[in-house]
Amino acid sequence: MIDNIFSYSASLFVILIPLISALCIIKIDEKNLQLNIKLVSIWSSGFVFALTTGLLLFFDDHEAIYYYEYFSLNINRISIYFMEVTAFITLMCTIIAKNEIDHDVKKFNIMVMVLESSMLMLFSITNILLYSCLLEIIVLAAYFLVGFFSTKRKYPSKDLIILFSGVIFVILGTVYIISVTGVREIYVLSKYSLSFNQELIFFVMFFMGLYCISGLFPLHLWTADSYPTSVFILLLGAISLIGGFGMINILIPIAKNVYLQVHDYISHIVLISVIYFTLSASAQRDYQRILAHISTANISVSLMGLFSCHAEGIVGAIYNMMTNSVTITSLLVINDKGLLCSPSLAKISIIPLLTILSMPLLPLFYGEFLIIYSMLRENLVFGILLCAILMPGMFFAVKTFCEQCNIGIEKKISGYDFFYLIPPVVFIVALGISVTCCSTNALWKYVSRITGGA
Amino acid sequence: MIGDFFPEVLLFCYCVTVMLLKRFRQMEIKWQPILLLAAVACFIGGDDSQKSYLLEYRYYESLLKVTVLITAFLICHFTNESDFREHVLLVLSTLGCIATFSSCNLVSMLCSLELSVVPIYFVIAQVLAASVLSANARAARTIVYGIASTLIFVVSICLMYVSTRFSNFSDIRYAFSFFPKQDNLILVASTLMLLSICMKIGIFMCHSWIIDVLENKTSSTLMILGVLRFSIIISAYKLLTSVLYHIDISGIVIILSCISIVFGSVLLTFSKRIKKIIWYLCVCHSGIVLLCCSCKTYTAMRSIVCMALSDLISISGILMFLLAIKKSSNKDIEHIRDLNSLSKWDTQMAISLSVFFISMFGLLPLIGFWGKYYALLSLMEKEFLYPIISLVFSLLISLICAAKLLGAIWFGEPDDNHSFRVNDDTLIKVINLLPYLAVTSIPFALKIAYLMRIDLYFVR
Repeated sequence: MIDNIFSYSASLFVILIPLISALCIIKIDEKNLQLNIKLVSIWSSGFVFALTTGLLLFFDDHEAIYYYEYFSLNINRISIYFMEVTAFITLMCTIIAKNEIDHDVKKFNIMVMVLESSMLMLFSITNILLYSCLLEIIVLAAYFLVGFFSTKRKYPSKDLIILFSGVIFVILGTVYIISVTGVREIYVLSKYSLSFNQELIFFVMFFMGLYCISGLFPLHLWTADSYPTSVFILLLGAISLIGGFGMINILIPIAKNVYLQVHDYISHIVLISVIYFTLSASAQRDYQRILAHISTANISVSLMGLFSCHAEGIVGAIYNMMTNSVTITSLLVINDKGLLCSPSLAKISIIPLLTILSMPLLPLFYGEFLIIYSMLRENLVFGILLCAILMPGMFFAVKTFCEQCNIGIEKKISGYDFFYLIPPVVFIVALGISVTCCSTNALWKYVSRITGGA
Repeated sequence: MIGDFFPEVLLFCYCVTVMLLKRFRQMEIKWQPILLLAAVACFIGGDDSQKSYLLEYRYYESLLKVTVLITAFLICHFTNESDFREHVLLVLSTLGCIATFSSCNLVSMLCSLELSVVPIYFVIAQVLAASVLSANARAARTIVYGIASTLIFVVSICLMYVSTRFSNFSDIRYAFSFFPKQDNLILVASTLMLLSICMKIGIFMCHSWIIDVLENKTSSTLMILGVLRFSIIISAYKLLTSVLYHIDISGIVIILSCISIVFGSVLLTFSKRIKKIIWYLCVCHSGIVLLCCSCKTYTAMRSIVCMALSDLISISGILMFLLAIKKSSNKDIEHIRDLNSLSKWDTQMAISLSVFFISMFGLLPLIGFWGKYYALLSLMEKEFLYPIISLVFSLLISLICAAKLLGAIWFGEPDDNHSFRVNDDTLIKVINLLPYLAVTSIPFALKIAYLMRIDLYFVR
């Protein structure tokens, strides 16, 4: 039974376009028509971005779940944001890769398309087993991207082991919950009355899995290495979203009671991660490592919000994760194009830098404000500690990043490079406006509903 | 009734005909498609309305037969250059394997198992004539080990018959359900039967024959580890869920299985030779199969079928690929490092090998994963804590080996001494398609096959 055939078709179309593009790319001759491969992926990701924007603008809360006998989709208030950010990041990745990637073009574009499709599907499916399956496909695609395009290492075995350990824990949690309930639908599982012990086992396995995939302390080894900018955008921007999404959309709704009991302990664990990454970000000298640590610090802060046990904290975590991905993408573009070297272009480049520093009216400020507010309500010491570490840490990290960007750039900057920065900056500003002015109430209502008023 | 055994009759007639032609007309005919024909007959033949002997419905039975026949066809094709006698022996062994699935009593199972094993002994015996001493020793060890396990099985059958006066699986199970207290003779018979099962499957402490087989001639290796082990697993399942159902040996089975799983997966991480990796994976999977047998649930049965199918396809596939690489590039693939840079030379082959390995290691969404998934589900249903821990441990630790293999295939540095040659062989191209057609789509194929067979039944 399809509730809304148009929305269902549009969502399905969004998921299928990258896959169709990947099939087209397989058929194109790489030696003679390298440009065509790049153009196919750019147009495809552009089209997906336009479609997801349409879905976001005309999103109706009342028609969130589109049931179909074999393949149900659940486009909710949270997933639509994550889909939009993923589509945007993939678009930026393909645009940057046009001039950057000159070897293994076919492999790169196929991986990117598969990754995009899997991520969009992951944010919209209703089946928990399919979620694990997609997680594994994403991890495999990321592993191959790392392996093919990392300039330092050629054997990313450590990455594979960490990521796949995460996937195996998620699968174990999934198998356990299915064996207990016999149900695979996430929506039904969130309504299922499980005993505390059953919830605890599921929570531990699923949380461990998502923690490994998020690459938080001490499993962060795979997050920082030497990659081309386009690969780094995908790894830091897109893949960091899946851990948080799994926690918000699956872990907390299914294991509400355990979440209420153990959120304090998890905040302790995540705080270590925040302190470590914030301090190490300011101590790094390589720009990729700085960004990797900033990104992971922001994801850790988001998790603190998520486990603050307040609706404000969860909403803040969602905004924080989305903004972090877009901001890191724009910082990578700035560094790649050397935009800080040009005085005129540096003015506009300052917006992403100010976003990282949590400037008011920019989206990260709102997210961090909500998180710190909820942490202060929940645990005063933690809230103060977060403020005391995060702000100076980020300041020094951004300072080092600016120094690194000015070093050793010899190429001439053209006005054309400026256009690379426009989409992320526009996106950041639009997100800031939408976060501050619109849709917050709807998101809060939705978060309260899925967490059962937690 | 005759429709159910049409493939067996077909293969038997084929073997007799070609041997007579050879004897009286001096004609050598090797027509491998007969195996495919038997597979088709298997697919459309049979009666769905009847329940099969312990394998839920005949539908499962015929699907197992189809898979075995297709694999045997590929093996025969690959060993095409070998002599006529070997071809007939391989077909006879296949006949024994598919007869095992239909066996419903201890004697018929013994006979069909022997029919599948004895021709392979003859193939292996050809190695004995070779001059290499180590090969001789390994071949001899394999035969001696096989005969020993059969002897133990025969003794256990005799003891079982003496104590119960039954040989049918269902009769023995029925008898034990009425007389739960067993005498010493039955316990001895059961223990011996369990021992022979363990020896044949290749569980911990009975696993040395697998490496001996791997070092043997390739066609026999393919046949034993691919097809024969598959039919042995199904036979073990039949025995453990019928004859040994009411006998309390699950404790021993679980302990043995757990040790086997942990032993196999730990040694797997230290292995650098591909044959040893296959060896330890076989040991680990044998443990999982025995664990599922001790669960005795419907989910466990699905797990056993999936695990057996996964092993059949993956092991045969990997060995065939290694053989193909040896044929085309004249390069012996012994160590993981020999697979370095395979993806640069032949991407399709690299993808296929990766799919086989990923399936073997039980990653999503391939059939190997479904085997382990159902195994975990059945263990959780039964709340077996230690087996769950050992299975999870094996899943995690085998990732190290998976990482090494995938790393070598996709990101390994090219070796200057040897290089792969791009394969133009049509057969290899066909086999390249196998992983996608077989390993990934088997769950869907099962469903489609089931629906088609129901339709055919109504049409008839």
